[in-house]
Amino acid sequence: MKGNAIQSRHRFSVALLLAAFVLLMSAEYAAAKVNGAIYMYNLSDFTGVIPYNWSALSVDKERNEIYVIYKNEVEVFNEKGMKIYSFGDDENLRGVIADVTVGRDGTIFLLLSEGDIYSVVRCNYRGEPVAPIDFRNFPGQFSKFLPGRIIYRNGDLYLADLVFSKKVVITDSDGVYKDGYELDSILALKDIEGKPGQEKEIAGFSLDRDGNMLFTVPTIFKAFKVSSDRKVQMFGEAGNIPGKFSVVAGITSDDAGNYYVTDTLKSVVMVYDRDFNFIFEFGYRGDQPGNLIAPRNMVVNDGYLYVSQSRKRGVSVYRILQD
Amino acid sequence: MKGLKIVFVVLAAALIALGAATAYAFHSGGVAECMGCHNIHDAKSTSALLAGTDISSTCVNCHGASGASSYHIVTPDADMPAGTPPGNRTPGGDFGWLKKTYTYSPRAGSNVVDAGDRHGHNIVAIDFTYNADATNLTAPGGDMDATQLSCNSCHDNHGKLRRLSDGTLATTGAPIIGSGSYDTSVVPLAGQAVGAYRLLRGPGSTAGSGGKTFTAVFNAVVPSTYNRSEAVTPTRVAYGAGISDWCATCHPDMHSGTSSLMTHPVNQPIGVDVAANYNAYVGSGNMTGNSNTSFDSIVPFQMDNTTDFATLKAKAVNNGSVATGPASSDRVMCLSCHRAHATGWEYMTRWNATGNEFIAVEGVWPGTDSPVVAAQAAKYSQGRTVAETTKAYNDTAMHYGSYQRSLCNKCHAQD
Repeated sequence: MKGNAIQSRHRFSVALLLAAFVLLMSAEYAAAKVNGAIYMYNLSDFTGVIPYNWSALSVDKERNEIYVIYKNEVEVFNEKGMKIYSFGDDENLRGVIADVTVGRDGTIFLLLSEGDIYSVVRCNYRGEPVAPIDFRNFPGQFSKFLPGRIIYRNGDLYLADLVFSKKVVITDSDGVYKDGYELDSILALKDIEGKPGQEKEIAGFSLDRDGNMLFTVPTIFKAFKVSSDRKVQMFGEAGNIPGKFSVVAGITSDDAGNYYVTDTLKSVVMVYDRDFNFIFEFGYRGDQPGNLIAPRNMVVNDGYLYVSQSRKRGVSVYRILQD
Repeated sequence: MKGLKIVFVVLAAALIALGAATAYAFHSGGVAECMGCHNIHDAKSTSALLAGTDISSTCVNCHGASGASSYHIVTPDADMPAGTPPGNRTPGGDFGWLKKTYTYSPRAGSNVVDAGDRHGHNIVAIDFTYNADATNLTAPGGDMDATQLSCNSCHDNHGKLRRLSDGTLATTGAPIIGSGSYDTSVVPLAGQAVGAYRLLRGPGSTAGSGGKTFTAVFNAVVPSTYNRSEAVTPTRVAYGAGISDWCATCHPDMHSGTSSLMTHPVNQPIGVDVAANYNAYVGSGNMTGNSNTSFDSIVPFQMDNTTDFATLKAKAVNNGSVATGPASSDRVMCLSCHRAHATGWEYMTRWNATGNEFIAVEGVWPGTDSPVVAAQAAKYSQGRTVAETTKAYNDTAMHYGSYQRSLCNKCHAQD
């Protein structure tokens, strides 16, 4: 009886905790609307701002670190935007570092490409290669595949080939195929009326908090959200007034479900709520610290937005203001 | 949470019901959407209401990426670290080569700096750190100020020049219904027009940055898929009349027809002997080729003096189906040796025309990391990796002579 009472109390406590968690999450989802962004600083080392040009970005949310992939090096920054480490020059690494992602346990996955061949190398916490991932069980339609992006999420690796085959493959962290997405058909890109020479390239790629995939296709002025069951939502229309798309590039989202899209031509970051309603945009071409020049890639971490850009202006960091 | 999921599902269904996106072929052979480049009421920092800091920066916003999509012609710095080539393989070349400076020591005590700005047309695009040519302060063979060189020096950003249904070129007279650049381009009917090749300037096209006024027409057609590897089949652009005269707008003293200097002939029939050389030439020491298969996209030629759109379209292929070499009436042109944007070599030549005696050794393209030791030698690799050398040839397999000399020999056969 005593045991049953303890079990019952335990179940009640768990239920209470779950209810509190759901309430908290619901409150966050309902209320956390972005209403501003304040420029904080640029990613730097002890000599000053690092003048990256259109660098790639990745985030390790478990350890609050930002990874910058630039010219075959990976540079790691702490939550204050200061460089704390770099790696990538190991002679055992074959190819060019295209992207990097970090697993929950701190395992670093390096995506490398060499000509038409790609590989993913599992690295330790110092970025030293441990072993290559042996990708296997890929269906035939995913054999011609050259990913340029990789994202770790909940034990899975998302490999995205946005340029050549326009496909995304999901594997477990040992490289065993789990699912694959043929984006041309899923996004219905081929059904969109085209003209000779027109490309419908995919520029931006990321995952939102729920594991939905986000894409941008600049030539048709659209952003897409694709769920695991292949349902597609899209938003965006051409124009250069606030909220409209000129030349969109990167896309990301925060934990509250808001979406961020860079526009390289307008030189802004546009912010949309979880229903794709435009909220505001910020940045704008200019020489002031908070301005942006042709912004491209983004990551969000712990209330901060990191934006890569051109003209050797490095990576700008903004604090996201929420209701 | 369940309620949220329902909301998402309903929202998804509603948005899916909106249907597919509208098509937007940006230039479509003529003037594009105004708001694509101009910011009418909200230009933050530019004159001319341009959305970019300058003209070329505005262009590179769209055209700057390394993936082999057709319209990309500028690889971002981040994607081409030391040893990694620019990624685009268009017939015009990738402007990224302008940022590739090579330093090497071909022999003891000597040091060669092969400066990036010698690899192509140095467009000024401040947002992307492309600066004016530091070597040639004016256009070689001309007087155009290098600081004025922009995409719109050659391309009419408003694309007014058009090919009418009767084949004539004009800046008005019928609406432009689509691109006139491709083998798949429509043939304009009466009352219609297609755009000029690549929105290039021509007679009546207002001079762009640099102030030069074009009088020649650049007649050409390209396969609709052209930013691609040439490892298996070449990308054959069909060049017609006017190419060299068009280039001479800014480079008059480089043109044999307008210069008092001794320059390589252009825009003249290549004649029987050169045509025979071209067709027989396979590689150094190998003259066993024939006119049916001799075309080489590294050494293209101009088709006679044709302006006929249909004729050009029939020859613009990327599947190797048209591999014929030149007839004696076909012509040598500036683009027989140069690419229009940039290349991996000095003087923006299509092949390593100024290097050591061999452009390939022991049957491979050279490179500092070549598995063939002889091909690593600095005098051959010239600071480039195998990947850079290969990409400079648009991935063309090394199919020439095992010790291949300059491709000047494709026409002159002196090896």
